[in-house]
Amino acid sequence: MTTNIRYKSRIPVKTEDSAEEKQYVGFATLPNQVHRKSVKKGFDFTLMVAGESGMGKSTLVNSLFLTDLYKDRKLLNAEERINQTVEIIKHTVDIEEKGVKLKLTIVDTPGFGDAVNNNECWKPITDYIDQQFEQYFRDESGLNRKNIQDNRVHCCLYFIPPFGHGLRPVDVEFMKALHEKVNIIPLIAKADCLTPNEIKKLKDRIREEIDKFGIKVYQFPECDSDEDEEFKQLDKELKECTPFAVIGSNTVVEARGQRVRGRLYPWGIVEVENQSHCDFVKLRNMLIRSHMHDLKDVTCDVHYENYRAQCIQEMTSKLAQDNRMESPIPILPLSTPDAETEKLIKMKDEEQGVVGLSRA
Amino acid sequence: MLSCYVKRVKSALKRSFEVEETDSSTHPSPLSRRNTNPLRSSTSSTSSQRSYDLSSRNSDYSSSRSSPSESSNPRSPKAGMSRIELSGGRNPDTASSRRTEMSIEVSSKQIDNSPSPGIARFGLKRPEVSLSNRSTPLDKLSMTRIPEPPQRRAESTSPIISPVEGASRRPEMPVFRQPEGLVPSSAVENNNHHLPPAPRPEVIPSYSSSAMSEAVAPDAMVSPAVGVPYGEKAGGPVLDFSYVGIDAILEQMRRKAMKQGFELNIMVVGQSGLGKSTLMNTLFKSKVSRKSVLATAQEKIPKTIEIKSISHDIEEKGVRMKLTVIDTPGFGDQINNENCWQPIMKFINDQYEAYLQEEININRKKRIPDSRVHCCIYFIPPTGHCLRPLDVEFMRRLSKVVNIVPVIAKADTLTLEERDFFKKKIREELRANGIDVYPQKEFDEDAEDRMINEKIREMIPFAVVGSDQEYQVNGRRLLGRKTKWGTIEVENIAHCEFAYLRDLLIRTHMQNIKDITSSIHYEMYRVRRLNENNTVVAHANGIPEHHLSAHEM
Repeated sequence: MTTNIRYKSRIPVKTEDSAEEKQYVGFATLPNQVHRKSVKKGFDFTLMVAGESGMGKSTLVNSLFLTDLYKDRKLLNAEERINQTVEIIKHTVDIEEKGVKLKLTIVDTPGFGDAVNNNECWKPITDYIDQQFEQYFRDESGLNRKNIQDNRVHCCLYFIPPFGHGLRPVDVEFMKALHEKVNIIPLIAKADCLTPNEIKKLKDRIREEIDKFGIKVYQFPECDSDEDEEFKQLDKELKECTPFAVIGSNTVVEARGQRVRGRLYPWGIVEVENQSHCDFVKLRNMLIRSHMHDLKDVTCDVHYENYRAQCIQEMTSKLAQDNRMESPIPILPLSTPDAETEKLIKMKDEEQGVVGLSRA
Repeated sequence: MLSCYVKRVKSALKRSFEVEETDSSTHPSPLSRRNTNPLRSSTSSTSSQRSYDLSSRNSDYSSSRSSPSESSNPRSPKAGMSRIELSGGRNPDTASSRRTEMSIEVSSKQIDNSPSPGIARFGLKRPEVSLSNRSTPLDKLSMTRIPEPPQRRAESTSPIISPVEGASRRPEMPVFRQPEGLVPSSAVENNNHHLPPAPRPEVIPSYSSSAMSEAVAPDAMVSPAVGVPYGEKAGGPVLDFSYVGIDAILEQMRRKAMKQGFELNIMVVGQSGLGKSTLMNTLFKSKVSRKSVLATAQEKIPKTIEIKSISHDIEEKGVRMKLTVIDTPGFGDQINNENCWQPIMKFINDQYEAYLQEEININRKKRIPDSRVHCCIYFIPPTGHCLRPLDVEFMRRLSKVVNIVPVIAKADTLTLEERDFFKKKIREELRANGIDVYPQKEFDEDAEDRMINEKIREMIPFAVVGSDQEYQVNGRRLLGRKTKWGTIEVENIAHCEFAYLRDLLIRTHMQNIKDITSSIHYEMYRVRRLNENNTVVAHANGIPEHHLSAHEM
């Protein structure tokens, strides 16, 4: 991370200048201490992938993290899919690189958008995200907070098919249902079927439509004014490149004398890590190398807080409805009712939510 | 005297047929078309340079007409009808033997001629002219090359016939000349051309200056070959006394069909953005799709499925075709796609109904306009895994009423292994669901059909890539898609299977598709309908009920 690097350079060196030493307090080393502690503790990151089947989601995840998470996957054929509902499947893998441990969780959503009637096919997904928030909320308000497991979804990669002329109705509905619960990063999948012109047109179209429908996708944070020019330039390029047009590959081919990850066609070789072929490198850098922490922050600070505020409001309004004393501190049920009852309660609250809010 | 001329004509006719037979045997199957360029064949028939693809399959006869001396010439197998020239001998030749032919020809020529001046499709005045200046959209790529050489050849060979040559573009026929295969079907091109051994003074293209110059020209050229009236040619024709000439009926049929023209109605179904319009444009090498025609074609997804039908008259080598492309924007694009096939089924049944109404009319039109959907091309998105439930549902329902040709759209996103795997999976699923796509197994007529169709069935669905832009590749201009890692050539079979699809749909199986539609799908519909309204219909037409049932399949 650039911040770390920058601070590192300021590590106080035991100089002979005693005068300066007197002025120097030493808390500039705090970031280093945090750094050391986090390395020991390890990071975790939950990534959700959503999109129709056959968009190359699993291949992309494997390419991003250079793992093979989907070894024993069984693909259903069309008949079996007709009545399938959207499932949520979690794969967890521990990755370690240069002493830094990452517990990576991939949440997969097979069955999304596959059926003939896709009404509300995103509901299982929104329910899952809410569940994770609720779990964290409960943990946070509980008595023993030592080992809270953070299963909240930090980022959702949404795969838009490259065959259309822009966003389809199902894409719009899905993103609108999720944009306030999770960071959405739209991607153009299987970008090797588009020529550079077509990619440009499609990206413009999608950006327009995202604006038009008011979808709030994940925005890259603005650069600080004291960042160097190169960084600012990269950041600008990154922003102009969204949505990223990606290509994934599980195979290694020989191209230009080296072995690269790519796809071999009779008319040429597509290199996944070649910036002029696709935006995979940009996505990887953004997701892992520069913005992973920011994604987590936004999830904690924005989405989770929204959820929490909403939850509390509903609870308060419910209490008010029942004519009980309005207590400033939300009263949490000490017992943990099962998820079903909780859901029912929440649904009822939502129904009366409007009234409650106006009063609160 | 006359009789001996007649006999010679007949023998020439027979020989030309024989020669063609051998040629047809060498005719490559539709699946190995790579090298053939049907568009290049030039018809020599006087019936106005039109090549008529008699049979839908590859059993076309080559258009060559070789004189007996030329029997060794390989001829382009295709153009079955081009033979006409030869046999037709419509030349206004003055050769004695020719005279008989001439008389026959002339009359037919006149009949044939009439439509040609009237043909001005796409700005083409006459097919022949169009050939050389390549105005026909159909002939775009391939045609340009062909006309030139033959003309030159013709000219060089017989100065006498020069006026004729000027007129005709396609020198064909005479046995000596290089008869090019007929336009449709994979003609094997160019057979050797042999110059007539002896000058043919008799051949005086008096008619050449007539309107049908080209028709004439070929005749003129043909005549020497055919006639060999005075045995000037090396090895005169052998008289065959047992030849009746029944096979000349083929020529007559051909002529009639050329006059009438053909109709083809293709429906394209698939989600938006799969390249349907582009593929149609690529198939017919002209802007026939909805997007090209409707100026206001926006790419918005309509809320309900619409059926848009656009017709074009296109022409190639004198063969006229009324092509109708039926587009279905909005299919499969909504969130809830249940019953999205219903508007399409209704449309297809409506077309059958319209035809049926015309058919059971008391005063029927001589030629009922055929708006029935002959073929439905279904576009499968290249996910690489398997068919989606929507695909299965749609194909299951529609394979019963129309010929479905499934294709994998935008196949440049699949590597070859992925493509093979995907195709295998699709074929399995089609089998498992009992979906019978074109060519249907149950409609194979004989062993030969079965063999050809089996080969096709092993390849469906075709993985296609469409493009209407040309790029320079290795010094040639080709239709393709240019990306940073290479250029995908649409007509290169190592890249995609567009060429196979085109051959299937247009060059070899077009007539078969139409036949199956009219004799099987339509008949099924008709039987069903007539059984429903048995009494009503019978009374309306004054036909007693028992007669109706007698007409059932």
